[in-house]
Amino acid sequence: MNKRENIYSLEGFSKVFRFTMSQTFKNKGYLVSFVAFVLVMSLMGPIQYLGQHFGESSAEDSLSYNPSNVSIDKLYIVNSVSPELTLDDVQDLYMVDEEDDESSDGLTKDKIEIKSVADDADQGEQAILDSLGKKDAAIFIAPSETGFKISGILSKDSEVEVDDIDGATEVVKDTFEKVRLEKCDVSDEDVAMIFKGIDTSSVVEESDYISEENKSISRLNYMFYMLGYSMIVFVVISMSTSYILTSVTEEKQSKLVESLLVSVRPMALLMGKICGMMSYVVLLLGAGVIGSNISNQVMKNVFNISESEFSNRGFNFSIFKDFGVTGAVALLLSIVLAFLAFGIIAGLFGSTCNKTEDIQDATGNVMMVSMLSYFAAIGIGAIDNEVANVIAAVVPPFSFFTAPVSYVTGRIGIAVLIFSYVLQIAVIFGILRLSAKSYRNLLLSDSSTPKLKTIFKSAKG
Amino acid sequence: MSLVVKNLCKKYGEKIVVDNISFEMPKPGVYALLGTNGAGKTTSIRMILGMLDKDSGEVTWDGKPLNFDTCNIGYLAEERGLYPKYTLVDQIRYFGELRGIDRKTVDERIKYWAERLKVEEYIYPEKAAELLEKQENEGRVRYDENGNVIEETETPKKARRRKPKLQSPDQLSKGNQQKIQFLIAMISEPELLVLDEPFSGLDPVNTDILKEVVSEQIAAGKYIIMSSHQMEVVEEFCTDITILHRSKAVVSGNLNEIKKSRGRVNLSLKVEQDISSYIEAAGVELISEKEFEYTLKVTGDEQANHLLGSLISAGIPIVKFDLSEMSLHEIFVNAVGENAE
Repeated sequence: MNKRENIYSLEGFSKVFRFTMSQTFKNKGYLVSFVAFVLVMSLMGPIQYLGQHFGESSAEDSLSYNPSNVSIDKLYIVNSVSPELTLDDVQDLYMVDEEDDESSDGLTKDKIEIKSVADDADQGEQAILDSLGKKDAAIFIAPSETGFKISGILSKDSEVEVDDIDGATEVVKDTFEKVRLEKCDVSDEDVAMIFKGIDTSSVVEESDYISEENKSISRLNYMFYMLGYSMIVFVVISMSTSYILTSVTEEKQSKLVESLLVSVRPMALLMGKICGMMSYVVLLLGAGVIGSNISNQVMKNVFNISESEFSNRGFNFSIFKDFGVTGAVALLLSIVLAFLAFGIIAGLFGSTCNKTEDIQDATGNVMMVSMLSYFAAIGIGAIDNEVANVIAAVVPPFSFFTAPVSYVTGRIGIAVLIFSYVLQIAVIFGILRLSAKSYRNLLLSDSSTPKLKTIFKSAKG
Repeated sequence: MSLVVKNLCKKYGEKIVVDNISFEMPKPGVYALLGTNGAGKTTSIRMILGMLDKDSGEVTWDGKPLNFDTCNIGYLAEERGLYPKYTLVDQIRYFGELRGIDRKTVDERIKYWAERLKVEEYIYPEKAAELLEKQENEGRVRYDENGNVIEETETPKKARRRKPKLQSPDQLSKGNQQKIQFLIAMISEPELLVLDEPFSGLDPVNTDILKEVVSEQIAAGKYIIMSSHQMEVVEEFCTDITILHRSKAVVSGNLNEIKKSRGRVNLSLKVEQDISSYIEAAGVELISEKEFEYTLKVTGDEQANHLLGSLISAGIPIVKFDLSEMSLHEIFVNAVGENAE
């Protein structure tokens, strides 16, 4: 008797996988997409930062004060209030000995004169202003209605750069602030304490307060993590499903599939294709993480902005490193499971297509499910409700998008996550079983339509 | 080695597409699977090769279920095509690797078959460049049979370095795509070669190339299953046939025996005068006549001999008397006609 063929056999998988992988990287479109993605991830931080701070940064740059670049012959600091300032207090204003080279450029200690009200009561502000030359400048410290006013002054025909006097004024302001607090016997630690920021929270109910206290990740950050992760999953699914679907259809349309089916098992053909594409996407993600790190290093070293200060929220990979190795593994495993589930579905739908128009319908069907899950994940992140978090974490297809984020942010426990994975794997096996029964029949059929019932019908033989 | 196909059946819903097909190939040769359009040839082939699930029946190769684990199969499908974006070398290598052939051997076989099937310029860039150069020099340079330059009539144009570029697979003509697919089928040096409409769409030159290759494969002791509508080509190669009509095998067996069983019924007769009255008197069916050369249909040897006897008795000189068996084409048409409702 004819022994029944093992429809689940993956014999030949590795060869299909290698071919798919190599052809993906030989494809100019995919290669360009890869390079472009890595570049975008590497430059996203600086570009985003420069875009947001373009105006500010130019103002800040102009305020950065370097005494060796300041071209002022005489700088008067006229202090009409208490406490008094000395030349030693304002040492950030002038070049110290090491910096003082032979050239006459730069502001030196001897070019600065501090006049306090007590020293020369007769000489008023007007006298100083009258005596200012083209290369002179003055900084007045005077009382005001709100406290103190520090003003930088130049003569009418002054040749002094406005940026230089602005920078000097800032330095005097900082020095005056520091000296003033020191005169009040306030220590450096106290100064730091005084200027420490205070956040407010709108939590009103006791239960909410306790629950919020127990969460290591705030509701806002949970939403951002959910948004970022689900976007990654969504992008991965969109890219890969469209590729898998198109390549399966292309193979079917090319009529090569019959020749293939006498060389390789249908499941190996499908899985090799899916995993070949998954490798491309995993490499893309890996390169994205490296690019994201490059971006952070550029932010740190070029813009002096630490990662914590610059939160590149949205489509970024920080989630993979914010929760340690366990978190990263949970997240990556979920991406792989999501990829497999949606990849197999895409392959099945691809095998129902006979015409280019069919591809659009089939892609639409797959994308509808993934988009629904994506929006649900965003909603779950925004609501951050205990029951909703658990339900979304265990019910596929939503669980592919939400479970790992809920776990790493402490919304669900490890038991719920494992249960969620078990369900996801069960779903994947279910789809695999369906594929094993119907994939070959669908490939050989030329009268299919990209509908779910076609797939089920085909599984019956 | 032997191929046994026993009681193959396939139904789609209520519609029977293959109804109890059986045949056997106990020794190498060509088995023709013939039939009208939609008779179930391709479905039968797909079931034989294990691509399609059978509702019942079995197919064995040397006593074991036939599949690509138990038999080295080469298959040229009826519907042909290639991956449109991958290079031909990559595609052929892929099929070779799927068959477990190492890269070096695959490359050697590609080289051999590319040359044999005259498709080198579509596979190798340098061959494409050579061809291009040859075309540019056409009329100016004469080549010998081996492609060597024997005469140049003008000074060669300033040599331009041209980057050789291959045609993409989807730009190849149907015939060339077919030859590449045949190459893919041959890459594993198969024991069992299944050719579904191998000659359709080929020009006479390429038909001859393919016929020559098929003859070589027969001589090499390969098992070949061939499906075709070109009866004269099938007749040239096949030893056994099955004719399918409306899902059923209406004729099956050794071609010579089938022919013998139907008798010698085709009479070709050439004389030097009009013999219409003798033909009519003998009750022989006249098919055609041209300048006293008659094509006749007789019921058998007896009727033909009766006509011959009457002509000799009448003293009519006979230039040609050729009594032959039915052609495969006639057997096919008769079989299908007899079973038509």
